[in-house]
Amino acid sequence: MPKLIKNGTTEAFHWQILRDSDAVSATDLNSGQYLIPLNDWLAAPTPSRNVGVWLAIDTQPEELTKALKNLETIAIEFGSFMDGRGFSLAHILREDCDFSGELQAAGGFMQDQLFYLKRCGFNAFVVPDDADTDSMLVSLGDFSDSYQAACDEPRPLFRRR
Amino acid sequence: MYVYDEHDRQLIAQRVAQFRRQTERYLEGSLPAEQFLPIRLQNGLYVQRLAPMLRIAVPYGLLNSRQLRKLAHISRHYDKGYVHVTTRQNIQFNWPALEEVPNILEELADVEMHAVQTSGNCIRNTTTDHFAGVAPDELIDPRPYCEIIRQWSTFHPEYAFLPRKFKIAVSGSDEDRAAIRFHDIGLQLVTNNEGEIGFTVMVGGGLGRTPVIGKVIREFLPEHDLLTYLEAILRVYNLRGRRDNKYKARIKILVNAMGIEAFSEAVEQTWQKLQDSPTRLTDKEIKRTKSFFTEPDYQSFDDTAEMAEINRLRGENTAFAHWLAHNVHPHRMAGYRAITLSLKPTGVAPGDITDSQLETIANLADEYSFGEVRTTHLQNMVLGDVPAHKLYELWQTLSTHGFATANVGTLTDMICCPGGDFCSLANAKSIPVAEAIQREFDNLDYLYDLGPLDLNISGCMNACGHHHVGHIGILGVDKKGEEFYQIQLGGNAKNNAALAKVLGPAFSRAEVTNAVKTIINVYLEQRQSDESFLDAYNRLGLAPFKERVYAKAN
Ligand code: SF4
Repeated sequence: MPKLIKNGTTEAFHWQILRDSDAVSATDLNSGQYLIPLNDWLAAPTPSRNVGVWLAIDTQPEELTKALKNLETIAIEFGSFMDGRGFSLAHILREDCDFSGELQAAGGFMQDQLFYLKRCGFNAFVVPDDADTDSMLVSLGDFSDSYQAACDEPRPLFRRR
Repeated sequence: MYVYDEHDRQLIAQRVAQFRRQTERYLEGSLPAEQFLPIRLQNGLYVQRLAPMLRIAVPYGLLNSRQLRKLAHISRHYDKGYVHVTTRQNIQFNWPALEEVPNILEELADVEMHAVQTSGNCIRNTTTDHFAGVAPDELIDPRPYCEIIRQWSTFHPEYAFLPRKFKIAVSGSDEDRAAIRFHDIGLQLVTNNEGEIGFTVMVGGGLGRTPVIGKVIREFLPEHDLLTYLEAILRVYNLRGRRDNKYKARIKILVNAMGIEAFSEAVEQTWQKLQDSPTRLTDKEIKRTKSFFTEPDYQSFDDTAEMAEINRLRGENTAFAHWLAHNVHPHRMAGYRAITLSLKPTGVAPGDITDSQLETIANLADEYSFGEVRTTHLQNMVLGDVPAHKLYELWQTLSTHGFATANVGTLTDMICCPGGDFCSLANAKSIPVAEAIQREFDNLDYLYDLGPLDLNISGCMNACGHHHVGHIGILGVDKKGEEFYQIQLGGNAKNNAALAKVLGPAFSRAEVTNAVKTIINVYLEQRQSDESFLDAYNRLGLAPFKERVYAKAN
């Protein structure tokens, strides 16, 4: 089972990702923890501890609305670690949609992006079962300060100097 | 020059520590090569044809003498005793060992240098006019703004995995010496009717496979909005730029596909949400950054008096007169001049410089120019603040050290990428072509008679040698595994930016020099009074050149 790095510790990742609507309708969403496509959730946007939204990496920024702030959990699934769209999507969720819940990075990101992911608003990271999480925790803290504003520090360094 | 405080020092030190851990993980096998690739690129490390290559950032081309000595030391201890000045004002080491790179970066950090984001799909080193701060035609010094951009873009968490690399250039003078129209974003400093400082913003310019001249997206962007507006452009590009084809991934392709109106509308929409964020620049920060670029301790000179002896010596010594005419540039302070050290003597790869030469330049900078030098995108170096009355003694010293070749701005002062001798992407070698042309045009009087001439050579379509904007551009191409060279005419990197046009079928290496010679002959025969090569080409068009070059070849 994959692991979830969160708040400086590691736990088991219990969520299941349902990537299409057919899978959503075929599943009893009360039977576990599910991440479902944005449109399926928007069809019945009720707050729930056990249902979150899964966002593909090619989600269009226009699709991200303020309604998302009612959610407790959102996961953005990276394809390749070279595809940096997820960094901007996360930023939009945090800054424009006022989403304040758990934002999971899932899929093909890599360890050495953890610090940047954290800065862009991710606060939970889905990693493989055999991942060296101690080493990952080190990467999460690669830097202790930054020049620019981001979701973890809204003031750029020049306003704090 | 900008000086690090404890924040800058800490950030760079943590970057070195991070890369050291990453290199160790790579070497012990726990960091896969495909993940290490973007990491090492964003730390300047390529794996080249013969060895790794390490590209060091020279932010907007400024170096002090301490940094030069450190570069000399590194090239001596970790490399083969020479470095290369690139067309983005950076410095490259050609043969460092991968395991040593963290140590090199640590040494660089000692002198407030690094290799951050000198490669990879991220925001690269910001470039500017190599006469920034001293040019008589300068409206506003671009360097503080370059530094502001440097800090904002350094380790920017959102834009480290863009569709493709991203280059920004800033110009603050009338004449564009930074080729801002050929950058992903070009910024021209201007003032509005109220006398407020701002930028004309251009977007989507670039060379490479699809050369495009940048388009104006904002006529006047107030200086305080600089960073929020850059954020907005970058966010639109990061989300909408193509990622399916690396040759279509630059922002110029996105701007062309969307059209400049739709693109700028998308940027405006994004910017609405950002413009009042804390990233908006403060007066305090602009002032703080400007305080690092104040005037050095200039003496007040009378220009005529300072130049009297120099002008007498000019009359007596032709070589000195040539050097004054070509390698010495006007300065906004009376009694001062800016000097180009030519790194283009015949027989040396353009832009290459040895460890001891670096140390010599460091000493010259200390003695003549307040301890600072500049690298240029034309692959030379500049002493920015030389007292005019010292020109003769400086010239003598430069002559003994090989920096006084009086060819700046002429055909033999060519831009030339490392090409097939070093670069694994090359289609053809470029250095031997440059050398053959330099040998052919070694007669100085003849060279001066040709007037200003930009000849630019790239070893492949990536256009690191800026061949599209040379008055004469040469591009290495591969024809069935053999090295060939295409010639283009009429490019211009300055204010009247233009892309060169292809003359016709490519030439073998043996034929290139002759073809260039024929082109020059056509110019000499057809020029009217003191018309420059570019003006003559613009009047005549491609046809007369084409006719003669291919008539001869057949
Ligand atoms: S133009 Fe091509 S050959 Fe020359 S340095 Fe760039 S990538 Fe290498």
